[in-house]
Amino acid sequence: MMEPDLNNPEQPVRSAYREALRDEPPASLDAAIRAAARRAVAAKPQAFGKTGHQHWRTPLAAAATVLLTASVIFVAMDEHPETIISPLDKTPAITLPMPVPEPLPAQSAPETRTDNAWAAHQSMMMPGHLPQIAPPQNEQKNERKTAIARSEKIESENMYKAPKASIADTKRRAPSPPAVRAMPSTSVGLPSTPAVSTTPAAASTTSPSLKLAENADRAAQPASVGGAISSAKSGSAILSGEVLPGGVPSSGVSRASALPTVARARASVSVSVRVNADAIVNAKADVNLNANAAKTLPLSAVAGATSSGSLEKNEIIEPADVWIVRMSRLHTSGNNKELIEELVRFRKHYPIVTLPPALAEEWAKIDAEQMLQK
Amino acid sequence: MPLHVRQCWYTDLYFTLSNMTDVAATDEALMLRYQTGDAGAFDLLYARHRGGLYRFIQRQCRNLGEGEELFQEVWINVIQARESYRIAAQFRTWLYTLAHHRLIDYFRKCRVIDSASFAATDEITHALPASRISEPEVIAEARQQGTMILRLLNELPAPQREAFLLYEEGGLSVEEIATTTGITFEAAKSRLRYAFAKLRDGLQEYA
Repeated sequence: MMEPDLNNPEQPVRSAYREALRDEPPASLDAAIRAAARRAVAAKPQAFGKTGHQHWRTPLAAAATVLLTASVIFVAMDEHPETIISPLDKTPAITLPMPVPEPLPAQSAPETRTDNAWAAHQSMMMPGHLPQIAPPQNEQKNERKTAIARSEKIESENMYKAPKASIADTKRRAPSPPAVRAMPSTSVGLPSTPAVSTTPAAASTTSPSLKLAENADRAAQPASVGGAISSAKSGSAILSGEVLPGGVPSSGVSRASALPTVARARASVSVSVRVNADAIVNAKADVNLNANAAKTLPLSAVAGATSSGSLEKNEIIEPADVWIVRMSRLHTSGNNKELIEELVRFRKHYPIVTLPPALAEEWAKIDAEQMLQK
Repeated sequence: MPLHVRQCWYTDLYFTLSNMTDVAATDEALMLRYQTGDAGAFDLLYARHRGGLYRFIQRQCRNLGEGEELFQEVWINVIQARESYRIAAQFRTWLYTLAHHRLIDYFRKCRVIDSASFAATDEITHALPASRISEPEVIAEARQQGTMILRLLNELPAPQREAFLLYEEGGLSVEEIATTTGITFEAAKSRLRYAFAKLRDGLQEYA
């Protein structure tokens, strides 16, 4: 610090100034200032209290937000588990309506799962066994349906390899569907790898989840496509999140083969499906229809779930209910030839729509004939 | 002579407080103690600087009531700023910087003087008069004419008066005056030399 050389030369000025009036602040001003200082110190604990409260306010708000969010998520998972998509599922998911049927009755399902079941089913479905099946007759219809249903159950119960946790999770989370009654169907297994997961848990698991790209690559045969996709033979298995072994040959006939599609529908129960649209188109994937699910879906919901993959682009599809009325009239008028054509076309476009009993009976005949022809 | 020793005779309060064991504490240490809630430390600080700051303000404000109000506002600023106080400079420099800014605001508000003149650098246009410190009669006249210097002080330009008051009342060095008023060291030095020169000339003329 450089001091100016003022001390000695200016000493008279400084002395004169010090001799001047040394006015000071009044005592009242001193008291006021010191009181203000003491008040500020006294108010400091309150300030610290406020500061502490403010310090904890943000973490508390964050914790409350996290708790609220978690609560909302858990409530939503309990009420609408199908709407919660696993965060592990990075691919866009399509929500599709798909009721999950209850497990098949114990008497119709085998207790154990063995790899031989598929072989047994195959051998039963082999052409060599087909002649043993009696021609479709009205009195033998129920027996035939029962046999087919049993084979489907065997296939679905034994051949679909899915993690038990996924199945259990599916059963636990899936809402109880209405009673499932057997579809008058004679279709048998498809060489499909249904990439369908019916629950978020199933969707989040990698192996049973449907990745059409993978399926399309590895399966030489048409792959089934996710969505409201299920077959009458494998409906319950698919719906429960099980997956058919890829590339398994099948001698069966799909009622709704060559219907590559990504079904779009809305319903209370939905299925999260990973869909690769390109893979769908390239693989010409089949659509497996779930007869059981068809029993539970309203027409309005299914009407929107039509597919357009193998259909002619200019073909106009009637609404299902209108179509059924028209077919009922054909049935009433006895025009069986046209009725059969319409039924085949109808089933092609609306594979899971429930038919009236009369039409369903006719369709069962047609289906059985087609199976025998194959 | 240390400032707090030189100021100790200003007030009886300081003598009372000087008996305390922490009377030798620095202003900065006292301010830190007050920051932690020690009201007694503020009393010590106030006792040390109350007189000098009061006169620093009053002799520039020239209005007793407004000067007291400014004086109180400066101390209130000190009280309010205790939480954010850090030892970046001497407490004295910080205190008079607050006072300087408050005075600038006051001058701008009252248009008493051109506040821009505080920021202007003084140009020395004439040499300082020769010193007559060796003349004993000059010293005697200065002592006797104490009130005359206050009149001369009022006639000084505001920047020079402020520099002189900071030097005499605040006990600041030239460098601290420059820091407090926001000017260069040379400008502060020139202001101070001009102030002393004019005061000395005025006292000589009075004598």
